[in-house]
Amino acid sequence: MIHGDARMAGIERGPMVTMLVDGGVVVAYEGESVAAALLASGRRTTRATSRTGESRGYFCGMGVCQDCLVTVDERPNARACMTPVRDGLRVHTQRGLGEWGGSR
Amino acid sequence: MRLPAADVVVIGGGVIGTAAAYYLAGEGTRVTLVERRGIGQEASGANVGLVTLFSGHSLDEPDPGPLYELTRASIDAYETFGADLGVDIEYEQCGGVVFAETEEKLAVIRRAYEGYAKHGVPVEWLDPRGVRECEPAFWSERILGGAFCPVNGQVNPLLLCRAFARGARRRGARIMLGVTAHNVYHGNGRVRAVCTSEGDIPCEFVVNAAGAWAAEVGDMVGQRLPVVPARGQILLTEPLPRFIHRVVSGAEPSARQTRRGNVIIGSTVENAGYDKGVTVDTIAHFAAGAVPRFPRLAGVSVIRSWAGLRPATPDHMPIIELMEEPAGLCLAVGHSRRGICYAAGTGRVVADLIAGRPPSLALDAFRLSRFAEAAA
Repeated sequence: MIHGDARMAGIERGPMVTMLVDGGVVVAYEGESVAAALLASGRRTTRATSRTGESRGYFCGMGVCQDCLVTVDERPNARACMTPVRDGLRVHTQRGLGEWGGSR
Repeated sequence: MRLPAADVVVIGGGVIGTAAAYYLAGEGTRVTLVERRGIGQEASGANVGLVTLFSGHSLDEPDPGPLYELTRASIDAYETFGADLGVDIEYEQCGGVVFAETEEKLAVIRRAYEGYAKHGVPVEWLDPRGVRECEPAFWSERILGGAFCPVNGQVNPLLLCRAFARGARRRGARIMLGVTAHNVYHGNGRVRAVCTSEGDIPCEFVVNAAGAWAAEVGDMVGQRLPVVPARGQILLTEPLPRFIHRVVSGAEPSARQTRRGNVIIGSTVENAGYDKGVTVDTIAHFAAGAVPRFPRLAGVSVIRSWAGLRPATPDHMPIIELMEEPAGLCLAVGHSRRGICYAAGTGRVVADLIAGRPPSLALDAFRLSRFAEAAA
C-alpha cells in the first residue's frame, strides 16, 4: 500500500485537517470526502466482506453502491464517499459489518 | 377441469397452512395446499419474528393456559426443526425482556410473572437495573421493571414458512402456488371438493388456513367466522453489528436483531380493512419509541417498511376445530398477531384432529362456538 499523496498539484484546497485512520494519521483538506482522502493517501480498501473477506473499496463514489463502508467515530457502516472529512475524525476500515465502539 | 384427488386440501400458504400441511403429510396423508400468492406472503411474512413463551399474550393469560401450551409445542418443534429438516430457520432462543414503563403495566407483568413462575416456567423478575444488565442495548428513563424469560427467542418467519412448505413437499404434499380457492363444495353434510382457479380437487377434508381471508372461505360453506384483518406495520434497518442480544417486547415497538444484523421494529395492530399501506405516523411512532430506547439506532438507515394483515378474532385467540357441520372442515384460523408462535402447535393438532386422534393439546378454548356463547 502506498502512503504518499496522490493529489494533483496546483489545485486550491480548503484548510488542512488530520484524521486518524486505523490509528494512523492521514492528512486531508476540508471539502474532501473521507473516500477521497483515503484514496489520496494510497488506501484503496475500505472493508473486507463478511462472508469471504474479500477487499472492497470505492465503486460508485456517489453513495449508492454501499461498498466503501467504514466505521466513523465508532459508528459502523458509514459511506466513506458521502462522509466529509473533519479534523480529528476517527476512521476504521472494517471487516463485515464492523464493530461498535464506545458505550451502548 | 379436475385435479388429482387429495385426502386433505389446505387453503392458505402462510405459516399455519404450511405447518398443517407439514404435519398432515407426516402421517402419510395425501395433502394438497393451495395458495393464491406465494408462501408466507401475507401476515406470515410481515411480522417481527418473535417466539415468546412469556410476552404480550401471557399478559392476557396470567397463568399458563391453552395459549401457553400452543406456544410451548411450537418452541419444542422449532428447537429441533432445523436439524430435522436440514434447513436453517434462524431460530435462536436468545431470551427475551418484557418491560414496563407504567405502574399499570408493571402490575400486569408482575401478575403474569407470578402465575408463570408458580407453574415452573422459567421467568425472572427484573428491577430497572436488572433490565439494563439483561439487555445493555436497551434503556429507558421511565423503566420501572420487567421480566426476563430465557425461553423467549426469535426466528426468521419467511424461512420458517418455506421450511414447513419444503418439508411438506418432501413428505409428498402437493404445494400449488398462484392458485385461488374459489369455492368449497359440500353436500350431505360433508366437504366434497375445493374448486380452484386450476380446477376442482376432490377431498375428504379441508383445512381453512386462509389467515385474514378466512371469513371468505367460511362464507363458501355458509359459516360465519369472526376473523377480520388487523394491519401490522414493521420497519427494518440496515444490517448492523450485533448489539441487541435479546428480544425486547412489552410496549410498542418491540424489537429484535436478525442473524444478518438488521433490526426489525414493530408492530402495530390497526383496523385498516384490507389496506396494507405503510403510514408516516406509524413509522414516526416507531422511530420515536425505538431510538430513545436503543440509542444506537440514531442515524441508522431504514431500508424497508411494510405491513401485513393479521387474522384477528374478538378475543385474539385462534379458532382450531374440526367441525361437524360440514364434516371434514377443519378451522385453523384467527391466530391474530401470534401465528409464528402458534404455528407448529397448530399444525400438530390439525394433524391429530384429521387423523381422528385425541389432540395432543386441549382445544376447548379454541372452539368457534365460544363466540356464539359470548353473544348469547
